[in-house]
Amino acid sequence: MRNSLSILLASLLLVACGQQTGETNVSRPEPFASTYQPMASEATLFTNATILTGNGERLDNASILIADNKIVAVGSELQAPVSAKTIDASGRWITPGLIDNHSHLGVYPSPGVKSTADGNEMTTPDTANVWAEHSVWPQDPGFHYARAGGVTSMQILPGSGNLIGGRGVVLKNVPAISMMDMKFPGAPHSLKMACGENPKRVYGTRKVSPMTRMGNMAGFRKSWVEATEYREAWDEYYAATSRGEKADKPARDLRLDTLAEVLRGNINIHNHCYRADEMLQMIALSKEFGYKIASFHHAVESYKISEKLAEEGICSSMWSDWWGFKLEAYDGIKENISMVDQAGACAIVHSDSGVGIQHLNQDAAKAMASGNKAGYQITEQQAISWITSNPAKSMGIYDKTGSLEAGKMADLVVWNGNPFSVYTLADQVYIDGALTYDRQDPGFQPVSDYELGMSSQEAAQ
Amino acid sequence: MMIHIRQILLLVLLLSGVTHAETILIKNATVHTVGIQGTLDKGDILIVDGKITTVGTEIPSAEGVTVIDAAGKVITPGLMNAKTALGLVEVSAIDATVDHRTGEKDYSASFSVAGAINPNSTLFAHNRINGLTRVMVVPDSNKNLFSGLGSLIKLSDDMQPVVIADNAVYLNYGARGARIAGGSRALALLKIKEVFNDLQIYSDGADDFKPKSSLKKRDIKALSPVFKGEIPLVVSVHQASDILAMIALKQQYSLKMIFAGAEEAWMVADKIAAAGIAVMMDPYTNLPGNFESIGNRIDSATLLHRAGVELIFTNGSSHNAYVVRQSAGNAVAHGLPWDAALAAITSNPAKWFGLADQYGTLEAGMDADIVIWDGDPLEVTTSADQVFIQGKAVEMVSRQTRLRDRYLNKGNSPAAYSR
Repeated sequence: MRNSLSILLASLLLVACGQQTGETNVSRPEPFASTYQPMASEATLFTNATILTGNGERLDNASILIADNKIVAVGSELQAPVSAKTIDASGRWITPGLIDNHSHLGVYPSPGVKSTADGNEMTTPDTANVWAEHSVWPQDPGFHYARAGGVTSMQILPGSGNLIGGRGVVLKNVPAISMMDMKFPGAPHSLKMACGENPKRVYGTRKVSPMTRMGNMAGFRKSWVEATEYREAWDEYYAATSRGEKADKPARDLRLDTLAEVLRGNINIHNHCYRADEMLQMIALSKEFGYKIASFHHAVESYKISEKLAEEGICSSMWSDWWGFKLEAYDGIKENISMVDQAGACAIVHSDSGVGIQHLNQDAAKAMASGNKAGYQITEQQAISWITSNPAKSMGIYDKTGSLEAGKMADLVVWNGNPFSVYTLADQVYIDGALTYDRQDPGFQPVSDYELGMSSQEAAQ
Repeated sequence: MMIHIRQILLLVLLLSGVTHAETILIKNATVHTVGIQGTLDKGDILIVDGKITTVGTEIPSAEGVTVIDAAGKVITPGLMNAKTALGLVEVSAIDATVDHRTGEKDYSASFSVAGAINPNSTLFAHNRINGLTRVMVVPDSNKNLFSGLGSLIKLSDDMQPVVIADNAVYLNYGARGARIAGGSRALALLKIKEVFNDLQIYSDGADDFKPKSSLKKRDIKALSPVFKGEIPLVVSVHQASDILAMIALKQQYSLKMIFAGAEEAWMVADKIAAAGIAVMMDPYTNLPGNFESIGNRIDSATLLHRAGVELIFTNGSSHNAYVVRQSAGNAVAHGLPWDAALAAITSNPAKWFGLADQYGTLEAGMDADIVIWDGDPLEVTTSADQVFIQGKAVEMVSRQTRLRDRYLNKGNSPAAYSR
């Protein structure tokens, strides 16, 4: 008990610091490392804007200064260097770049055909060895559509057919030839896990385990038992060699590498889980093996256990109103997000959709309005956290982006009005201070190779 | 008697059980009639026995009239979604609760869903309290080019949902139709033409009629009103070239036709307008999701409207069919006039599916399907304060609101003890 508690505490600390401190990472160079480079940018001062900072503040008639890819200052009466360009943002709203922690862009791209369906390695229930980033097709036109909707960072996850689906990756939403050119520098990997109907359906119909929810749980526990032993073997090996002793090097296993990194606190758990009772079981499971769940996803029943989720510090990633497409989604209600938020738990709007990701602001608006109709008084400055700072926290990148604060990446959206309106559109999107989308300027509306020469997007311009 | 909107719950209690001989006067709202009166800034609506009798300003009250002060509120007709499976699905992934889809090959155009609708489905209350009062329920076949007959229903709680049975036939064309036909669009076209040849012979009244196409006689009979132009043929079609092929079919046989999906319709918008075909689409979806919707774009509703094409919006959802108003709002965000967007979820579907004399506008003589909104109905932050279907104030309660209230008002006992 004490041992697992100390592991839990250690992993909590590691997650909290967002550090890549795992011993295996020290001993091996990071594979598929980020080669991301910000696009060209210039120092810019935006003035007279309504600013939602993402961390709870609303500033009216305010300014924001960006330079050298970073936010320099947010406030009023800012002094810009002479070289800075000034943009009068009167009547416009500025928010942090939106962040979606549940996207399958690139792994289930457009066009959605068998040749491109690369998100679900449904060959065995635990595929912690696969990495979603190896399936990402950077030419997916969906990335451009998402950017036009204000999305600057996304977590691309494997699907939910497996108990343990593989590693997710955090990307910056820039046009690129290579996935590695999009890879968010310094962002931790995530691991996708899935409760409930999907894994038991996928494998149960093949007459292999899991066929039931108890089979699901047994499958998780089997993997974590193996991971615990694997981690111990490697830790003993490293300890022995660091003492100068000779030791047998354990055999390397890609699947267990990933799981051991979770136990070391270097990989965030993102757990597809609809039902409240199953979430509570997954929390108990995480304590049995000493890891931390960053967020439940598709958590349509979080409102039933919102206090517990607040107490445990686990985020809920939710849709504003989806329900009923399967039995574990039957109890979905429109007030879910607001009820989680108002219990003091971490509420996130996620998309799981190439269309929904373009309108995260509308989903947040619907959730806010439903909550307020039920009696809450949720403001825009609070609700914007559901699509900015809270997803950033769940992905381990809040120290770098997700709010408008000096020193953070200059990822921001200039909206042509209140983003909590169906009529409002993103005018400009900046990523690391670089203009990457401009609604009025075709020169800043990238078109993917796939669409070139056959798409309406060129005709549209 | 003057009732403010906050007291609407009380009103519902007063009205419960009363469906006839009731006179209601709703006053002082912004009223979007979607009819010749346009929008009234301080409009009143008088409802007698479930029908609208007067729409205007400063309508006088009288003894026995229930008056609702809706100052500051916005009123529209109850909304319509023209492609749903309401009452034919409860949980999409549980086959036993799904009745609009069939893999049956023997029943094609004659597969009518009207008899199987379950108004006790939780989807009814969820959608009606969010402002949706009418829908088309639509058959879906994986095995036949002609899926079957749809029906127009109302979302009232009176166990009599069907308003017009069998008022449209659905045809799969495009890649799906090609797959059903045997792997080629050209083959699908041949098979469709065989069906119309049968229809020609059938309509000529041959006594010993036997279909030469793969359809049964009952299917040809079901298609007969389509052939006569009495009810629409709703064609699921996506790419521009396929749309042109269907325009040719429409013109050859003088059909009443609606294109469904129609992501590339904007490319041939003038031809669609000239042929008098309506487009049923979801302006919220814009991805080039497959090879027949490469030309999909977010402002296609606007382009079609400018060309003179009549629009019908759907979001393709049953559980959240009411969210079609968000689709309409997105069309406006990308250039469609607001009034045209509202018409696409009220009067246009009413007209194309044969109900324009009863529903779709707020005018004297129409069914009193009315929604009192707390703001702009196309705005995502707006919700319905009160919904009336055929003059009856619906109880603004659903399984979802009861789940919400149970967990909002948690006591010391387990939640299961609260109702």
